[in-house]
Amino acid sequence: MALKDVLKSGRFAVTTDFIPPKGTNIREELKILHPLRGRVDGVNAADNQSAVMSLSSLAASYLIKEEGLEPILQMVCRDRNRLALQSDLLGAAALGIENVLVLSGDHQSLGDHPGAKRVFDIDSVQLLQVARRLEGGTDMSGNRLKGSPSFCLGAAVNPSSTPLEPQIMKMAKKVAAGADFFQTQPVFDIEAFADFVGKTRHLSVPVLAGVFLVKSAKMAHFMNKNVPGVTIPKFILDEFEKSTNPVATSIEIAARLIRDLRDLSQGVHIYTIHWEDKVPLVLDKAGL
Amino acid sequence: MRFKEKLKSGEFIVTTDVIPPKGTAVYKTVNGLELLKGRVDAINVTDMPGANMRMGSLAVCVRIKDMGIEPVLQITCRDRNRISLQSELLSAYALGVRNILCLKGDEATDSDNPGTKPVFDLDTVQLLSAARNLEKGFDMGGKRLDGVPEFCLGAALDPGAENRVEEVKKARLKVEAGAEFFQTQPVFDVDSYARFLESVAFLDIPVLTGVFILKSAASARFMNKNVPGVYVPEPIIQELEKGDVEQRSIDIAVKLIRDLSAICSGIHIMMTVPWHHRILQILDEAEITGKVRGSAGARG
Repeated sequence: MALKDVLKSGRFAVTTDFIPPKGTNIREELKILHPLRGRVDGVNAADNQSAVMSLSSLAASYLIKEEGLEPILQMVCRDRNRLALQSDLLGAAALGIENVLVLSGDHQSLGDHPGAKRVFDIDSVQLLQVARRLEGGTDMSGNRLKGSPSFCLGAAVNPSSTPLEPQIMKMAKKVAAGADFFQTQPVFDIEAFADFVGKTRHLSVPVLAGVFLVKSAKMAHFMNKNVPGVTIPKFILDEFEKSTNPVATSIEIAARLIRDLRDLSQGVHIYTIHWEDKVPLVLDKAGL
Repeated sequence: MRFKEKLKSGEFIVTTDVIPPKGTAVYKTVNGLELLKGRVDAINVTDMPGANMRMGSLAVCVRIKDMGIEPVLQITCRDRNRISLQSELLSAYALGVRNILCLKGDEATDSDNPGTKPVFDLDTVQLLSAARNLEKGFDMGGKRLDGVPEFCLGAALDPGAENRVEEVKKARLKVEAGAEFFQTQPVFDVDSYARFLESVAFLDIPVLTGVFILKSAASARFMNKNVPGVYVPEPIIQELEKGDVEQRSIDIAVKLIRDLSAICSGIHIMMTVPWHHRILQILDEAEITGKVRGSAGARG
């Protein structure tokens, strides 16, 4: 079933991510996704994530589709102007890619081409609007199109943001601009997420809660120190400190989070950071 | 024979181009291209000429490749920064698109999306170098790649440039950066073009000469006024004004190709209307069969 239909049906949706390689060896790397066929409703193809130059999300999405999975094309506003962004949206349609996740994009100083020009010709809200305009048969400037695309549009929200209100205002703007669904930053604090859900219920848009596969205590410490908006609670760190099998611990924690999120969200987005093959194990454990 | 090998073989090359749709109607763009299979060596897919928003070149290249015709991905520096340009190059290779024409891109001032931010993070020489660097296994940041592409790289050459010395200098930089072939703006004056070719002969790479199928006398006059570096001589315009424009424009192209085939490595046929059947007629009448044409100017 297409992601669009899954979201409409109300069935609990599961998506995950794939980070395209820095290089051309993508077909080999895509094999890691094979066990996910029939288990996930979409696979995000990251767009030069963290401003690290890699194979494009468009090519990755096309090849993910060829592998029998449903791609979600991520698009950031950092590297392309409005011509290229619209052009690639039309290209995506021609290649049979329907799902697009619109993001602003990490600052290039975080990546491996710090000297790259910051483009940001349009922002993520405008990009959502542009995609909807293309669907309506005109480009951003109102020029008529020959053949219009049809998209399922996603956007990002951080439910752990403090204060939360500006984040919710931004989310409402994205809904108004055309977002069909949201994927969130990693969630660890279920109560705080429940609070976010309560405060955003009026937007009535499906939210896929971010579930991050923490791989080790070391990784958790690193994230707490370096990733803004993500706080991994102490009890998770403690679990890893005590664990003799960090992979099993990681799967157990993620599965527990999913079980807790089932009644709160319309689905989950599992951040794997190259642990795509662990997703079926997590889903089994979570009873999905 | 692949396009890259054919360039090296010294055989006469024929390419043409298509403009992606403004919208999703890609079938209209690729419709009729089958006719050209076996008659042209590659088809360029343009990257938003005139800075007018159209479907991405790579997506159309994939469709053309699926038809069994070699695409040439045109990529400009106008709309993408170095992250996106390199990302696009890796993607092209991963999707089986090897031929890349590196261009600066028309200015965004007359774009149909006014207000577009021109990027120009890299210039064409830097883009060519970046592509060659990817082939060596590294990105511009010096990071090692996982899987290395191979390209056939082309660049533009403007025989009508006002400053010829400067144009030749730029051409040399492009070759040094990695260009394997040149593609020119439309040529109508073969004698003056022949002199231009002599000035770039030392670069010793194939030059595919632009041959434009004229639509009408009016469009020729429009080009003279508005397209920098293109000049349609008055006798040609007068010829078109005599009527039977279709046949006369074909005759003009045939004569140009006959004259050019004696002095250059190949032709790149351009037009503003998808006249694929006319291309076939023109190639037939010019007796371009895809076979070696003696030793006629393999280089230059």
